[in-house]
Amino acid sequence: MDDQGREDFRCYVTHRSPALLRTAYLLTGNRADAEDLLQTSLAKTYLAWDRIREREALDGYVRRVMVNTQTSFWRRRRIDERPTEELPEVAGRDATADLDLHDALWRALAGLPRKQRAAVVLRYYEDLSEAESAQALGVSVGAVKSATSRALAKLRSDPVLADRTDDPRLTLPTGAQP
Amino acid sequence: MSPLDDELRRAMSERALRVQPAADPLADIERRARQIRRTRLACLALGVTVLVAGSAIAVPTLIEATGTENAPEVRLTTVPEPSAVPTPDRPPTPAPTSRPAGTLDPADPWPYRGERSVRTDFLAQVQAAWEGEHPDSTVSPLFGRVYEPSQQPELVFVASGPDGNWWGFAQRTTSVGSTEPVARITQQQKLSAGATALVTVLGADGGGSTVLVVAAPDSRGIFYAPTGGAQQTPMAMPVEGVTGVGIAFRDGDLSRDRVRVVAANGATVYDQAIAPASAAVTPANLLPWPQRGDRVAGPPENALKARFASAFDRTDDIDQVRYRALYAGDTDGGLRFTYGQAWFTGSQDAFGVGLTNGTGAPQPEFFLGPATDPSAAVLAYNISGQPASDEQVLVVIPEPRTTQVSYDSNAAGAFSPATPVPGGDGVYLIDRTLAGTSGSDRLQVLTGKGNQATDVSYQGPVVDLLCGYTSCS
Repeated sequence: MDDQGREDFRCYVTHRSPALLRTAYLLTGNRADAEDLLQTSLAKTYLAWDRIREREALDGYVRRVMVNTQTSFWRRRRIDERPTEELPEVAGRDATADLDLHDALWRALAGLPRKQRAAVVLRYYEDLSEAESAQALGVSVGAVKSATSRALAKLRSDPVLADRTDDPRLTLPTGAQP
Repeated sequence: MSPLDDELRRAMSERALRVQPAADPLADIERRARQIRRTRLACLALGVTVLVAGSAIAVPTLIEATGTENAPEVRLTTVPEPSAVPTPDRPPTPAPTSRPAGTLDPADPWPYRGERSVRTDFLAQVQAAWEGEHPDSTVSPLFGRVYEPSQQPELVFVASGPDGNWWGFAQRTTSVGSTEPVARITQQQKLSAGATALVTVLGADGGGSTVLVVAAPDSRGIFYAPTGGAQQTPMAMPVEGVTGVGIAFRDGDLSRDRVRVVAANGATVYDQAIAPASAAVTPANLLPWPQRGDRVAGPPENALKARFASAFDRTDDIDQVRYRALYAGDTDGGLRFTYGQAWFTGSQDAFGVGLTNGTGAPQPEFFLGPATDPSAAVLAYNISGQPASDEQVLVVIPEPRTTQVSYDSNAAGAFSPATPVPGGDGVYLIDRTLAGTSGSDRLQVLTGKGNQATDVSYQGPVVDLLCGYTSCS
């Protein structure tokens, strides 16, 4: 890689690392693995830098490398994803109730199979379309729909959330109106 | 958008905002890049060393892809060299014959790549399904994966046998009315000499197409150009770490899309447009039932193929007729017969067909039925012209999970259990009187536990099962 390429790469890493790290964190469930995943993915991107033609689509490329690396990464490490960070203070809404629910959702998310989890992260955190998610995951649009649907069903039936079946925030809107 | 979706977004955003990257990540990235590069080069060098050593002394080397779906590992296991004591009687091992880069040799096909479970759990089913159409053939797996939405295996393979070299694509499906998963050969094609890429076009969930390309494992790259444009992008790996296989998803017309394969030596060995119509697709109504009976006892299948082609005024296309026998055997009167499904390559429909032949028969009796109902619980074939007899023989071929077949010779009577053919694997030969052929006889087929109240898969007139291609009279 020449000096200009290296500078371009540095600029990209500097500006996009925060956002990419957050995605990696959601994919892996803990900070240490997220940093490891991001560094490895960016290293692979570094090696392919000269061959990447569409620099506008770098995020998509890195995201895809990250998702693919995370699956093999996950198998080798077999890390238990129980969250350990302390819950922050949140003002405004019923903070305690929100924290409890979000903690429960986070734990339920940790229990998803890796590809379902990746689909949920891409669709609901990254706000990618089904087509963009399919490209990142290297599967068809139908596979994304299927994985996402199964993931949401699994979240709703997760024992961690089972006690919250009466929580209106976890119910789907029904056709009948009161 | 549901409340759960909103809370999920908020939960993830909340968590994600907690993390911040290191101050200077670039140094670590470059270090990791150097490490990855060293690892890749080390694997390549080791592979070259092994191949060179193999040409001088017979040092068998086992290369096995032990990878699962997401963490493939390539282990190189070298068997210890032979003893240093000279063995004058052992002739020197000849150097391996070279072949053009990236070509597929059916006698020595590319090693299997992909998910190991597909090779261990699915290959035998594919072999059995393949032998149904191509007897005495050997199937060699090339690439396998588990299709994510259905969690069913898929396999690209090459086959060699008396009818030549082929390659194909198989999926595991569950036949209608059965819980048993079976292998279904959905695509098959003659293998061209010097083939360098196998290109399969499949349907994709939600519409569109999936293009799967299998090339040599050491291919430098597989590229895809939509609508034949200049922009060629590397195809994705359907299974992480498996080289020489690419996948792409496309909507719309693929007829101008192109695939290019670059071999290990940098040469372009494949550069062609997608030609999905050229793939020989097996009919959608091909029954995955086992082949039963004794095919050697039946009449020559070439004779049946010729009659089938003639029935459709396509006598010039006999070599395009495919036949899969469902049962073949003899009647008590000495007639040989075969019954199964026949179709023309590329056709979506397979038809029920039967042929009899044997000493004393006035003429071979050919039967052409309608396109097979893929949900059929039972097929039937009526053999007339029994030598020195006014009776006919009703061949009943029920679906594999059948537990009992019963026959009522006239509508006023009761069903009596029929006796299956010894060694016929659930096929029945029922003597049919002239009275029965008037349309009053009935058949009952039971599945599951054989409970007449709950397990009836068919109960009705025999004549309804004997419709011909043009009429049911």
